[in-house]
Amino acid sequence: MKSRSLETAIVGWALVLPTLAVLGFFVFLPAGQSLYLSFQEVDPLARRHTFIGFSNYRNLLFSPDYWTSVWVTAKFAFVTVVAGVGLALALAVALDANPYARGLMRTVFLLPVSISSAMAAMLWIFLYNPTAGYLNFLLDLVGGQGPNWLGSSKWALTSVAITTIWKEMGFSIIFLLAGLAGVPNELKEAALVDGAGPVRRFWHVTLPILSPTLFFVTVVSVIHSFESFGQIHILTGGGPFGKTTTLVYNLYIDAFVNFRTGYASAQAVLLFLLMMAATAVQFRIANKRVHYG
Amino acid sequence: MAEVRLEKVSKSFGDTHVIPELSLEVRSGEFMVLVGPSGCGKSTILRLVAGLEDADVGAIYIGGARVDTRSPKDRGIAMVFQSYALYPHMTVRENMAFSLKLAKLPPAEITIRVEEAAKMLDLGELLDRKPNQLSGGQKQRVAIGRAMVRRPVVFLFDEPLSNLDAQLRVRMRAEISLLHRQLKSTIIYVTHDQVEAMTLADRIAVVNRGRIEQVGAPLDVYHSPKTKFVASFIGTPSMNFFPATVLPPSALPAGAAECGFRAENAFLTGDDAALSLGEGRVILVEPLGGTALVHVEVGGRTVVVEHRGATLPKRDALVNVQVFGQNLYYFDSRGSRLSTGER
Amino acid sequence: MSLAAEARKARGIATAVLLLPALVQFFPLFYLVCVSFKVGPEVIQYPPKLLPSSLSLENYRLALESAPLLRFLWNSLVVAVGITVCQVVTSILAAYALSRMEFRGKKVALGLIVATMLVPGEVTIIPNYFAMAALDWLNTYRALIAPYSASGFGVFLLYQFFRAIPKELEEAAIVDGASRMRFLFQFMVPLSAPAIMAFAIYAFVNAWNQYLWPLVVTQSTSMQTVQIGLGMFRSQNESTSWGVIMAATTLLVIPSVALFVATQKQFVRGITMAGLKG
Repeated sequence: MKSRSLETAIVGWALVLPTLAVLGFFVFLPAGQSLYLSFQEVDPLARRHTFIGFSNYRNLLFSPDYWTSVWVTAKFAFVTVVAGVGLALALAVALDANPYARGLMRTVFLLPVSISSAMAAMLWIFLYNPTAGYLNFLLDLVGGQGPNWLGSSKWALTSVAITTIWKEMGFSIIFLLAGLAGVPNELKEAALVDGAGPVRRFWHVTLPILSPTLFFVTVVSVIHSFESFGQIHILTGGGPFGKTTTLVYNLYIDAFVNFRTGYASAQAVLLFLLMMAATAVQFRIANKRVHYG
Repeated sequence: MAEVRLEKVSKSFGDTHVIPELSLEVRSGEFMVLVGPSGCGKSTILRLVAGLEDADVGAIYIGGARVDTRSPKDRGIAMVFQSYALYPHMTVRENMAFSLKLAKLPPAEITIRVEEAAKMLDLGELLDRKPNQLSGGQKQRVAIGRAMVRRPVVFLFDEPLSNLDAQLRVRMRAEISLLHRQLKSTIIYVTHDQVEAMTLADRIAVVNRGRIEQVGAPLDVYHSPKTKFVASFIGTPSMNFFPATVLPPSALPAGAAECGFRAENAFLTGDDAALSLGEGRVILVEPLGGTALVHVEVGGRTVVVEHRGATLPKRDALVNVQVFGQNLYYFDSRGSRLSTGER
Repeated sequence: MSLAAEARKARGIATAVLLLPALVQFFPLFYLVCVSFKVGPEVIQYPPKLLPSSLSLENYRLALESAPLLRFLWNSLVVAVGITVCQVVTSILAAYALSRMEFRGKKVALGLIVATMLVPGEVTIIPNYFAMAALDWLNTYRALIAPYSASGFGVFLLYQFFRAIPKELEEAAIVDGASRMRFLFQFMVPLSAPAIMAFAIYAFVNAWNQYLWPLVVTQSTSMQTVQIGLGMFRSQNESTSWGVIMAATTLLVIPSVALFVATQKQFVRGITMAGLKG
């Protein structure tokens, strides 16, 4: 029997090895290396490492550019998540109320999800064109004055946010729709008998039961917003004047344009910590307001 | 308390005529049980009274007022659902108080009513718990409490005990009966369990495919079923049937008929005064303790006889199945009861 | 009024509410195609007309001529298929071992694999780049595929599905004489086919849509994927007409849309499963 279990162990580990090897080499190892590099001064050709302790971190935390990107990221995350999830919820409720339209509508709302962020950006970039783009033309028709969407300091981030919401809303809608379908009909009937109108029923019955799904969708949206890159790169390149430079974009610039490896690695570590913190905060809030079971 | 009246009500779902045309009167303060097999439409009838479904045709009156167009909360009803339908994120207290808060009752009044119901239903210690911390029986009582605090003129119960285990069901039955006596309320109760119907009801209405086949006091329905369906549905074990021909002279119309008798009216020992179905073979004996149910194959059919003797017949034994003539029921080919005037 | 009657009323309102957003969701794609057919000055005329005056394929011809679109599509295909196949195979093997076999350290292995799902890409990208450079793999398919050839999510997902398959089935097969591998591929895989299919689609779409890693790791146009290639092309050829760019975009978007339309149900399932990852 001992040889049986030895054989099992060998086969078992052999089967797991490919995955572990790849993940070990391309996830765990680099993660550790990033941490290591964050304490180094690395020359642009990446030939020499000099240990400099927390200097990178200190420089970051005193850098106005860094704080700008933190602020941009926060604004971006807030807008895309609140507007995105809010709209998704409204549309999911509407879709739930109309089973006939569901099939067709679902396709329409999911279509943007199937294309990449980069492609979504390519779609919108001409729409946003201040002179020839259709968006400003439409605004002109209703008497407004279309701004320079991607070029103005005031509107650039909003433009990127709009494109992001446009592309990602369908994802949330799917989950919220599934969640809405899970609200038992008898519960709504009980509320109706108790005297609750449609709005009260939504607030007291549907929303609490939906809260785990809503929470999940929010967490995922926040993480997605932190990691958004493609659309920023194509639409604005981080500008104008850093108005759309998020933490990830800043990291990219420092790592692969400016070749400040150590400095960028410190940013990566901070970004990771920030994402963990944001998720932890959300879980804290959820504890109080999300009802499971 | 109010009486409930359904007048020529019919309801279809798509192409299915769940209720072709139905009229029913429930007296004020009465415990009316709608009983019938699954899918017969009894729940639909209840939901029509509640206002959870709208009748296609016909009128519904509660307490003399026509309520067809009113929403459930304006009908003076309260409902206890099969799956309890307790709000999972609210405590027991909040569950019971919910409807009262919506009706904008003053907080003091709400507290009084909730405490009163909690006391009656023995829920005092559970008031601050959430539904997922309660057992099935406790949830059921909370559901009843939630209905009670509204002080409705009609209570509607939709198969409330089906999700409970057998012992609990018996206990809850007694509690519901007690509640009815205390509150003196009009109750319409739906179940597929005819034992529940027999024990709880002032009157029962036997429903078959959307039609009410008979309404009456439980024992009346038991002893004087009007149709073959009612005769076979009410009573455990169900009535035995076999074909018969009516020969003149007879008070009954001549021709083919079906004859039925209950298991407790049949016996296996010899008695010259009784009619005999002939000799049969015992195929199954089910001892119940005080009595036994003996399944006998006779005349090509299987018949169940309730046997009270100390010695039980063995399988494959040959026995003589007998019934007294006065305990026979006759039904025509359409299932209607043929009556000679006496039973 | 019953819930059913209320629902009927709600349906009407709901449809009205859905119309404008649906239009907004659809419009950019429609606009893209319209612009792609506009030739010459029509593209930037003002006021712009929505519909093109003719369905000219001129822009498409120009796009195919000036940018190696087919090369981009090919690269994306190779990379996406490569990544998908690798992820599916490694995940099946690992999930089988973890769900069906008992060996020391199994829990640790599972824990490590699942933990990788928590690590965001940004933390690994810089060292991975240097690794690729050191191996001299930059600008090759290897660099694009290798780091993504296994998936913690895939293992986790298939692990759940495999666990749900009753043990007795395997025992019966072993008594009948089947080897482990045979059981895996002749039984477990077919039984989990919907999940595997949905995961494969999810992995394929993710790989196809990758942006940052290909951006960093490819240097020449001949290795660029669809996502990178178009952006690079545009920034390097500033004077190219918008019509041509839109035509190029349309061509490059078609595979994604086609895949979505063809595999809708699986697609949705794939997304929903990605949700369980959270």
